[in-house]
Amino acid sequence: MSATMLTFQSNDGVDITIARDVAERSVLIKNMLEDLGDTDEAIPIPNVNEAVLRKVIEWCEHHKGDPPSTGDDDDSRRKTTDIDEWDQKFMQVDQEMLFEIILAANYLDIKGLLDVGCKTVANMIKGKSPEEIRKTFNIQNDFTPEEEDQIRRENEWAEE
Amino acid sequence: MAATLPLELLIQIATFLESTGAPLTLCVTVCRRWQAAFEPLLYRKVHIYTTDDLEKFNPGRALSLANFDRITSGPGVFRRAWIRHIECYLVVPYELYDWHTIQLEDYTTDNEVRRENDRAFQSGIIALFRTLSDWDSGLRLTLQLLILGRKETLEPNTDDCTFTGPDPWSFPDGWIQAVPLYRASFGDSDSSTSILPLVPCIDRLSFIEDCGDPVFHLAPDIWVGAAMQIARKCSTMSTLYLSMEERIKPDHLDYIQARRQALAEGIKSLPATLRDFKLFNLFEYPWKYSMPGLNLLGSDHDMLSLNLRNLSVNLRHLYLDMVSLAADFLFPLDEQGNPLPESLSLHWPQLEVLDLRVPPVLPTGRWVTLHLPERQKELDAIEDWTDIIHDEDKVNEDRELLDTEHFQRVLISLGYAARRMPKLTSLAYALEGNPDFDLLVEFAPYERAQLLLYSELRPDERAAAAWNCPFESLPALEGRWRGLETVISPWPPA
Repeated sequence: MSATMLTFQSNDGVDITIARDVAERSVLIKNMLEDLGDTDEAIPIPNVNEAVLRKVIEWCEHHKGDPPSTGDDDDSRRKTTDIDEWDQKFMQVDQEMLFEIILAANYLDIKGLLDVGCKTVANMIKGKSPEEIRKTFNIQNDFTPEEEDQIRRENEWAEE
Repeated sequence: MAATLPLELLIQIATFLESTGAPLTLCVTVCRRWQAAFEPLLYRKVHIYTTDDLEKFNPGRALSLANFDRITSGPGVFRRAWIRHIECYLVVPYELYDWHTIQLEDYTTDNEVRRENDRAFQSGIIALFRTLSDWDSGLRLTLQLLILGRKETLEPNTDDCTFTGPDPWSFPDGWIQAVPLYRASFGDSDSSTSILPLVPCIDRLSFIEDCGDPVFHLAPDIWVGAAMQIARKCSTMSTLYLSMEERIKPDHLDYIQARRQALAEGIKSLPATLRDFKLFNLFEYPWKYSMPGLNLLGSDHDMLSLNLRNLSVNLRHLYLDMVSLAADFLFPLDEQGNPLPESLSLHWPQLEVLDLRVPPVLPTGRWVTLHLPERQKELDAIEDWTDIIHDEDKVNEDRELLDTEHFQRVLISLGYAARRMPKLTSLAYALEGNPDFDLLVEFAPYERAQLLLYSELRPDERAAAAWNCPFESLPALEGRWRGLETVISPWPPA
């Protein structure tokens, strides 16, 4: 019989125990458990620290009853940047945490969480000029003014 | 951290942003990493107009052909790999709406307005194909071709008239005088098509104008013969979608016949790489359903049925919508419903999906849905239909019977054909009319077939022999659907 509780260890050495069905929101963990079978030992999550792992688990707890993702071919999940109210509140974190959650969702293969993270960033970009985007995300402009001008002119046709 | 996010995640963010309609161009100039993530999306589907004064069309996100050529050549050649779909508007000087004008004295279709449009169409398609001719064949583009007129005009010796449409109520004014449809073409000479270069980068070619509804499209005002000549030049094409969904007045039968003939001719020279062919048509019917059907053939031979059969043996997917076809067009039969000797060598090694929806009239004009004999006698006695056509309510009743022999011949021919299609996964045949009949066969795997037949008629022993299937065990009628799980034994027998 499968264990109902599993323990994971963050990359800063903290053990966290959660229900198996919550952990299996992660396709990476689900596949790993299928390959390894049951274990009493803490499973290391090398790319994710405790704070981020707890946030990810919070999301998985809330969404444990959601239907499983239909995979990469599901276009409907790409058609909107609407985010439900709970997820919006969940994503009200500082920018570093937001990107850490996106990276963790990508690593752990949790499509729903990855989508919510990417949609949140997309919504932050909407309506901003290039300079405002750079400022918002602290990005260095590595184009020369001439290059930037040429790219802008070449893509002028695609402006709405 | 947004600057160092893996490219795949930046692309996901860009895809979400694109779905909101927000302009991606602003993101392209943020930094080089963002350019790499966002710029390819701008080019995934491009809209091109074969004109330099694009601003006059207020087209939104679109490129003139010259600008498209410039930014995808020389230092911009890398952008070609981003493009998946090109929607190209071939701009012509004049918009000539269907069924909106009448002929005055001395009208001829050989007039300067049509010639100017044809010249612009030809130079536009030649310029587009010259631009694409050196693109790598590995790019596998989808190309959708459409016609766009700059301004409405009247052809010489014509006048406006909004009552020339194909509906019966417009018959009194529409008879004879309606101006024939204009479709852009290469004319009679081969000189234009001979200088049209081969374009090996095109995988899918579409002559369909989307109109929002996924099951209904429009024909894009390009003569079907010209469309087929263009298709011939897409030398490695796998997919061709063609719409002939244009209502045609029954008194313009010469147009209908010429169109069918041009399609039949064009099919003969399509590239051998073609695997997926979809053709959308509209039922070409007479003014009244009780009138004799239209003879769609310009000669004694039904070249379209023959050439479609020859084409089908190389296809994976054949979809024909409302194209009038002989009952045995796939697998010809003699008059008794036995295979003709030449049919026995037919084989469709690659065909996976066969989807046919046909009107209830044969190409010769013979209806396969019939009136009761006594009613047909009354109809046969009508010598002049003019008054009846004028009256919307007169003689437009449904036909009550399905031609039994036609039903059997369709089943027999499909049965012999299906057993020679070893990769077939789905066969759907629908005769549209009242009464109708439908046949659906799902193969999973090929030899275990689920067969559904929707008809009041029962297949005879010839059909059972063709399918090698115990039709006598068809269950009793339940809402007229009969289901049967059966074994389809392929031909030749193992």
